[in-house]
Amino acid sequence: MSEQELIKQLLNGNEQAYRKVVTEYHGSMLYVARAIVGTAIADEVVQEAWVSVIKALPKFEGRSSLKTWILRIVSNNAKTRLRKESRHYSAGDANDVESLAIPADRFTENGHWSTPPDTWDIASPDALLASDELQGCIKQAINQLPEIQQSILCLRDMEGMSMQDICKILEISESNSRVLLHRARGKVYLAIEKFQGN
Amino acid sequence: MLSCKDINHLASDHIDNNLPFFKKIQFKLHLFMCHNCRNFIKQFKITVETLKKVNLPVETPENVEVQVQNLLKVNQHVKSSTVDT
Repeated sequence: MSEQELIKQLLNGNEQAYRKVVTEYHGSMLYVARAIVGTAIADEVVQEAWVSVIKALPKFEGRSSLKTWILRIVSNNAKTRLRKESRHYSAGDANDVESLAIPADRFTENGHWSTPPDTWDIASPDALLASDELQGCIKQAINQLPEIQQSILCLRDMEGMSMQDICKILEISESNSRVLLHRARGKVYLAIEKFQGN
Repeated sequence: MLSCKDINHLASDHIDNNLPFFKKIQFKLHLFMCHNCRNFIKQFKITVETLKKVNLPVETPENVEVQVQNLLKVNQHVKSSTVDT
């Protein structure tokens, strides 16, 4: 079903179209809400955002994809919620985040490896994911990421959104978002390395 | 000349094809000479490719049907208020 068709069906109140968007977009909406308001009230923010989405849908002009538009509504609702609670949104500052994927203590003072990376025995995405234990380890590493890093990693690497859209949705500069993405990938790399070393 | 630490710092930009031309040349030159960094970049790429394929459990609302019915009611309300005005 094309996006235009989907929107038409939603406006017409087609139950199946509603089921489709709720099932497909809810996870991404949660990533955005968690990055802004934190895990505790993210669910509530997403519920409110859904109502805003349906109310605003007749005015959707199609200048972005439906998903990007929905995620911007989540972002706006989340920021409104923060203001109501007199909290501020600060999408991680690159200065606060170590920009290396691998900790600095694995390098000498002149920037050479002091603890070089081990060569992995399992060295392809399919082989890594074929091991349930390793797959669990990767998922755990993702779940343990700070919310903003998890949000950027999931939207970019797992859902394939453009960095430009992610930056607009989370109101974060491209340089900051790249550092946060790099850091998040690094943590997953380290989790795989640790698993393979054991 | 880039150090191994610089390579580590620039790994995502390299994979995402975001390095400016001269940085890209310096990066490749370093990889040509450094076995450890070649190894690191190869495995970092595998990590990113794996992330693209990993299936996290899809997070859906606790009760999709209740959510769908609630939203259909909102839609009905929006439609009727548009007709009224």
